[in-house]
Amino acid sequence: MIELRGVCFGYPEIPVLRDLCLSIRGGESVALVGPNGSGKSTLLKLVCGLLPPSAGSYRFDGAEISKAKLADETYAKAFHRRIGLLFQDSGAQLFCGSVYDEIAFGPRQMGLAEVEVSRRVGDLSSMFGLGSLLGRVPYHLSGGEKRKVALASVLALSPDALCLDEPMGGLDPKTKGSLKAQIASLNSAGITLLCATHDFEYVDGLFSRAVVLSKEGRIARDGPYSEVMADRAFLEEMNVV
Amino acid sequence: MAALRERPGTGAGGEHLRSEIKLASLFVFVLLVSLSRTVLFLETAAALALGCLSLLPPKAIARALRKALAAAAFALVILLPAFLWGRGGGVVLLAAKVLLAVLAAAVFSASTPWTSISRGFAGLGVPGIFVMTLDMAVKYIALLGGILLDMLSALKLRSVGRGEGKIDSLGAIAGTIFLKSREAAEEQYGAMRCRCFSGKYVLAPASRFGWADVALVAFDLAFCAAFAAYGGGL
Repeated sequence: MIELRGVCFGYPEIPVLRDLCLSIRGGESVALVGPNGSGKSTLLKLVCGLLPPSAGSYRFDGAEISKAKLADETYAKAFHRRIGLLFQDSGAQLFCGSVYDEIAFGPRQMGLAEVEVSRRVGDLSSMFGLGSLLGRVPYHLSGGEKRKVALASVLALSPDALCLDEPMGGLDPKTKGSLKAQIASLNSAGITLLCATHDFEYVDGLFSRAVVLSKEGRIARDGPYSEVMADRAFLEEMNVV
Repeated sequence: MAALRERPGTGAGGEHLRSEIKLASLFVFVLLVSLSRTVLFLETAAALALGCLSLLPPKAIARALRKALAAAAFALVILLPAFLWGRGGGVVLLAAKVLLAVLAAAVFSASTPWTSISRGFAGLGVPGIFVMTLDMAVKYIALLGGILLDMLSALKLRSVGRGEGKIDSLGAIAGTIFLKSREAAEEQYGAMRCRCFSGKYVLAPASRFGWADVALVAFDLAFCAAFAAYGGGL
């Protein structure tokens, strides 16, 4: 489903990702691991089409994703509907006046009928326990509630793949537990997951595969999650644990 | 800033009215009060404004009255020279107009959540992109204001006593706020693109036209008729 071939990306004078080759099949759940500044968030943004690779190619479901293609409004909408991104800072992701409007934003942009929009908001609010918050201003919610609203607003588009940037960051243990269960249920429902994380204690059992990025922005290791996580010496060397 | 952050409804009777009709009514009210030249018409307007004010909860009434009286007092102070030059009647009339206009705006603001106000603009034909800009501006005033307060608190905690360094730090804080606002804007635009935003802001459809809306339009028409009959004309 997601295929990167020799992908490089850098900000002016700062190379971030170097010669990445990564292939993720549909329905897979992949943990993206690496020290701070290794380019995890950048890679997620690149996979979601927010940043164009400076070299190499990126294919989603067999189709090449490029800046020129995403300039086409219809194509961009169809692509973004299929792949969602949960930002590291959920606060930056929420901009509507109420939780209801926030979840409904994506479906409305897609031009869905208000009955369908309302059905999706209802389903997601009951899934995440947001029923009592629908009239609230997202800005005033707690960190955990914001994270749930952000996830619900991404899922309102019924994406096939989901990129999660530190989904457990800054949450209390109970909220982490419930979020883990919800993420697991998404993967069981067939959604492909690519998740940047540092919270190994709370994501145990969520992923089948782990990709370790080095400080230089290269893939240092790619293998079964349990196998990679068992190599303590390697993870310490990579400054991951 | 707290008021900008969250503008919940107050539970007042006007909340179920269509916001675009409320917005249009407010515009008509302020316009006619400004154009009126007779005390009788201002008394009619005052009766209407006080009627609407009475529908608010006590705390909201006190807040609205405080704002209106402060604005009227300020107008009186500004117009004091005219009063001293013997134009007392005009001064009182103008202060009354300010009082009524601010009171009406305060009643509208107290009975309408911010989301409904922006939807009201859209209902009046204001382009979606303008409504979106307005929504974002309100959010960012609160967001950046919060960051600014945090930074000022940090500065206060790290600087003891008097010193020119404090003043110099203000420039650094302003610069940081600018960089943060740019960063947040980029993040938000990315988040919007990820959710299929392509430059057109699609808002929720307006609610259905109810009997309360019909009653409000009837009141507006009656108010216009009163202005035509004894408001002083154009």
